[in-house]
Amino acid sequence: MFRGPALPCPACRRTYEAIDWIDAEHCRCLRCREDFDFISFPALSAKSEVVRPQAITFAEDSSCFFHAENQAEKLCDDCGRFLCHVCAVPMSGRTLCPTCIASAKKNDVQLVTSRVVPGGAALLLAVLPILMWPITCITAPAALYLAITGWKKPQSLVKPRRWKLLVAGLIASLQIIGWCVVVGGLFLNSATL
Amino acid sequence: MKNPYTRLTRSPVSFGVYRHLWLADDHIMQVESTGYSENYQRFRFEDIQGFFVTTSNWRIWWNIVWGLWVIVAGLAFAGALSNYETPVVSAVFLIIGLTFLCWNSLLGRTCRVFIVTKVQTAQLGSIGRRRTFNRVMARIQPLITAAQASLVNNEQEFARAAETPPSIPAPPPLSST
Ligand SMILES: [Zn+2]
Ligand SMILES: [Zn+2]
Ligand SMILES: [Zn+2]
Repeated sequence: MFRGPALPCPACRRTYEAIDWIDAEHCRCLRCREDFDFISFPALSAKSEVVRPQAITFAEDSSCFFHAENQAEKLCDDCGRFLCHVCAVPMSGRTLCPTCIASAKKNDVQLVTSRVVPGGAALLLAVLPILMWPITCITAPAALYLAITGWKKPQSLVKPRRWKLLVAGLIASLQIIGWCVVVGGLFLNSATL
Repeated sequence: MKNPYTRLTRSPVSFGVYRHLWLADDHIMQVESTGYSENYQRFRFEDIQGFFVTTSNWRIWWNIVWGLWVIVAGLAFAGALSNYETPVVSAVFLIIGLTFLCWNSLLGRTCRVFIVTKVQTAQLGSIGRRRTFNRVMARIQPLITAAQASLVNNEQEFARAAETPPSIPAPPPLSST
């Protein structure tokens, strides 16, 4: 029997013994009976590096900003704090401390995990309420507001174009003009009566 | 600023949430988009340990759906023809059904793909067809291998070190004075 890597079944999430390796590239889950092809890379067999901080041995050694008992080994590239081996996080070619990672998460292209897309949000608010058109008297100004304020907000990471904002603004404006015409017409009608 | 991402896949057919895969210099990123918001999942090349791929039944199910559609539209079409009517509506429905039936068959086998890293195994919902997977792999396999080249070298050095016995330092030459 071929001895493959100790990985859980990706389909049923059963742990190690579930997977029966036929060869290095084919396996089958004994629980969910799913057959898999597997493509492996060197990282699979690489030993993960064990990170151990150095304790301070001499009084004149600089200590980690977060762990006074650990010797500083690196500097944060953002805030310049001294960091021990545990606190220095390599991040796309830079070394950052946990605090800088947390604060960078919102805006850094490399770290952000979710984002409201201003163009998509404005377009949804401009188009969807047309199905229940009376509510557009409220949603149209809101959509126009989103379209204007969204122009300067961070856009989608992968499709950062702003055409949706323009389209949403246009549709919302047309709705507002429509309401103005209707309300103006009613007002004039009642005035002439 | 130049967009650092290039598209690898479009979203497979799904309702409400769309998943697509993008390529950057040192990672791939799966984007889950609802139209209103986007979630980003990044996989750095040096962390990727492997991919599991398994064939799924989605192609068969879609073929059944479109096959039934074609049968119903075909019956309506034939019924209208036998009544000496011009079957415009049923013809449109028939063409739509046939197009999707052929399209679904031509796209090839459907599959599920899972990416394995040091910390997680995640499904790549952005890849739904075997052909798409092969195309994506052809693009990223060289990049992953290049990013992990140092690991291969380290391993080889490790193996070489294990094979050759540690050399015992020669004793210092005796001074003859
Ligand atoms: Zn399983
Ligand atoms: Zn910092
Ligand atoms: Zn520390």
